[in-house]
Amino acid sequence: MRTRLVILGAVGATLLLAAPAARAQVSDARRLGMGGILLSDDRQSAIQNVAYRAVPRTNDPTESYKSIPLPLGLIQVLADPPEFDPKNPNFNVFQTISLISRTPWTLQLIKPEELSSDIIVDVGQDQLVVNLGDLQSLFPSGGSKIGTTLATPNLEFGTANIFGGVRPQSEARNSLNLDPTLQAALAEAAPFSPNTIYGADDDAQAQAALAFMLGGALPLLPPTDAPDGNPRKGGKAIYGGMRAKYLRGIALWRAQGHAQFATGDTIFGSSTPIETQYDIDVRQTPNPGFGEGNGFGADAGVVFFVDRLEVGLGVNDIAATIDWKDTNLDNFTYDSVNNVNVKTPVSRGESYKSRFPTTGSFNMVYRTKTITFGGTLDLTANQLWIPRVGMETWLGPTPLRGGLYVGAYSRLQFTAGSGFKIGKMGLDLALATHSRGLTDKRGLELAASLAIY
Amino acid sequence: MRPGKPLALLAALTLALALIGCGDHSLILRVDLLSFLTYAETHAHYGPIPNGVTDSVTVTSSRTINLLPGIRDITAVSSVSIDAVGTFVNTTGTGSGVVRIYVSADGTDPFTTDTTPIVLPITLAPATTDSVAVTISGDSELADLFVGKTAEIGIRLTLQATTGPLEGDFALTTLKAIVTAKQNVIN
Repeated sequence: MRTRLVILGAVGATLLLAAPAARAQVSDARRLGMGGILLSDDRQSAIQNVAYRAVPRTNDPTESYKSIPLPLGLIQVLADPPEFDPKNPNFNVFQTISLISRTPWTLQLIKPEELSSDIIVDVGQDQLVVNLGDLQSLFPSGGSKIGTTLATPNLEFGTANIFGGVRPQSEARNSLNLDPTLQAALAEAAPFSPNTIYGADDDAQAQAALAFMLGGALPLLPPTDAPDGNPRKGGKAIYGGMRAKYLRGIALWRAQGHAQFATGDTIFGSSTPIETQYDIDVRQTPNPGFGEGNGFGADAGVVFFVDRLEVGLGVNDIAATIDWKDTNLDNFTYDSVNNVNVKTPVSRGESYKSRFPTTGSFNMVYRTKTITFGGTLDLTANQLWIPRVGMETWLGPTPLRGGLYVGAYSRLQFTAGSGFKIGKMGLDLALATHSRGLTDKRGLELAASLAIY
Repeated sequence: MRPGKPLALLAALTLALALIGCGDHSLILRVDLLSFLTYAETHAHYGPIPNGVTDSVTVTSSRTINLLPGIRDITAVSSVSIDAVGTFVNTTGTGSGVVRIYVSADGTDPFTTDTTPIVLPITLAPATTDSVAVTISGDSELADLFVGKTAEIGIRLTLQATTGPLEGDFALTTLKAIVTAKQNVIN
């Protein structure tokens, strides 16, 4: 049983490392239909680029609206929830892990096809080959990085120029890097060799805080030669913004470790046994709660409008750190002499400074009289770049949208969207492919948003 | 390999094996048992055996072989097959023989524990070289032996001379187990 638990833990952790989270999807159906690009029309864009706060709203319904995403994915999960109790016979860790690859906003129409090949292990006195088949794609050569910054929509109040607000903010990320030897063994079915070290490094962090925000945004260059004062239609304008954050830390968990094993003269020989080592430092707040830490951070952004071209740069969580006043640090390692796992307390009640990853978006949008084109380059919490392109045109009250983005496993994904507008209300729908979870195959999901113009 | 050590190895090395749980995957474990045996443990000289006499030669004395650790903990074996091939270079005499390959759990005597050994029958003629092969589908009990971290193996040759003296050499050239399993970490 102990062995099963250890393996279960290892498997769970590994799959968490391997499964790309729902990092590439946006919640607004209009934006998703356009490949997830960022543009000034959506008021929620100010979350990613605070300068958008100051960009004037217009009477044109396509240029200023408030989006309310419908939690279709949440409804789907609640309607058929996985078993969370590990003691229940129906508990399946893979289903549970797959939740991290779901978004609460999208309904899974077509589940990505699961990888289907068998795993073949060849064992001999001096031979070990692990052929994962299709599953080899789960171990990309550049290492595995997942991460997400979880934040509710800003609860901000104030004017377009001065505002304050509050929102929960948390992050979870993990970086796994395999030694080239282990990478080749798992991703390319390279034979394990004698007298070789196989190792992996991992860095994981999760933290949660409450962010109290105060910010300002204003036109640095007021609209010039802009029809109706709307820089989207032409002319020039520059807007800038900054949002200061006071972060009230709630909980922190951080682990850094290295594990390796070394083969002997003979892989399965008895005279030269495989030597196994691991060394993991785990730091955590022993008493999570409001006020465990204090910190500050900032968001900044700027948007240029030049002759219908919109160019924005938003950077979030700049120098966002939290000083935790009470953390415990433990070291976990393996005692090869006594064949036991050893936990060694290193420090107690120690202060520690953590940081939130800096994220950002660079976007360009160009509008003709009938079509909007755009592209965005997002920097995610796990320091991955996601390029997006998209377009939109309106046929009366009906929009037509399409887009592309590069998602998990560096696969190109496709999006399309439409909807309708009646008076000051509208409904946007989007279809998007994705390759999240323990597969690099594509699935299809549906997003829906109410639009208030 | 020291007992217990494979836990961390297993986590790193066979995380892949656990992935068989995320779909309808099978783990196919192909164990080259012959590679664990030395030359002397796969080759034997028999005879001369006089007319009408039955003789036995132990090719491989009971010995432990180290296998991939921890597999039993995460798998449920669904099938096993074993391929065995032996070659007889019979110099003189005629007769019949049988090769018996015994496999048992760690710490046991395969010759007494395994009551249903793998059997390769052969008919021998003078100055001939014959190969004998067998592929058997084992039961779950046999399969379970190959997903343990160690197993015991023994090989014995039994020969009966019809026309003596019966004499020659035997070599085991293939001994491979193929175990098919499903993940059993979760369920």
